[in-house]
Amino acid sequence: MVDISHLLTGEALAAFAQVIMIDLVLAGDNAVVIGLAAAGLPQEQRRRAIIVGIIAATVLRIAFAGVAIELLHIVGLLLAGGILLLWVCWKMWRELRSSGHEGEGMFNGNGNAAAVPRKTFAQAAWQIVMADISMSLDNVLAVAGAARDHPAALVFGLGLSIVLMGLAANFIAGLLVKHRWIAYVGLAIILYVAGDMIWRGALEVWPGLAG
Amino acid sequence: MLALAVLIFLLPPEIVLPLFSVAALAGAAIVALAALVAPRFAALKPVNAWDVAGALTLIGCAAAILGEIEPLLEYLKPMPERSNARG
Repeated sequence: MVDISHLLTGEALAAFAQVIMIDLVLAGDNAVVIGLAAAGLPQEQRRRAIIVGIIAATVLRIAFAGVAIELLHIVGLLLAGGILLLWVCWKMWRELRSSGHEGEGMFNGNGNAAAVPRKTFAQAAWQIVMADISMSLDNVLAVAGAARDHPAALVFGLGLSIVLMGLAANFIAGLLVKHRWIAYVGLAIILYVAGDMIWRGALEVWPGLAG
Repeated sequence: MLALAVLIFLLPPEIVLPLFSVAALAGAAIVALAALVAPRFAALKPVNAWDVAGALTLIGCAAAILGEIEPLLEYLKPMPERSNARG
């Protein structure tokens, strides 16, 4: 019999609760970016883009968790991550704007507006990976800190975030295909994440520059 | 709605958004399950069950992102480990 009594202690349960909440945040911003990037693709490529995004986020998270302590010593990493994410936001904004203009005046036989996917799979995958790099940098230290003495919680959290990312990105992409204007809401959320990273990164860098 | 407002006032501020996020994501999961089990929900027009699941997911993700994670982590720690600063 496998002894699971050590998983039911107050400390272990608290670690599990912490990891679940952190992974909710981690999976949340990744899911919004993946959903946004994948929404501009045709149906068959959308699923592939979501899978690429989840694999990239998982690999990056494991890799960054392995060097979490070293990453702590690099000043300006958060600021760089924020700027990278801001650039991804800019690319997405331009695509949203251009797809809106392309959609104007285009109608199919039923009189409905015909959405023409112009984005390529490579473009979407590149955006997803860039966003994954910056967002994984931001939050991986929190997970490593919360679950330092509970590897089971860490593994559980990783599995949970993969499932959450996959399902959430799929739902969000499906919604954005039908209701394109909601993509601006998603973009605003990612812009907030980028702004928050830049602000905290700037506060971290400032003492070094001023002194 | 009133019950929700009362709940928001009664809960510690640091866990309102995370709990709202969990509730929205759970709602999305329930609606998605309903769409799978009863396909008529998935065929409704102009807004179907998958749209509702997507909207709830986006709201849940937004609430999770906007919620401050550090105070929540402090709140979830076992009592003796919590910092004295939090009160």
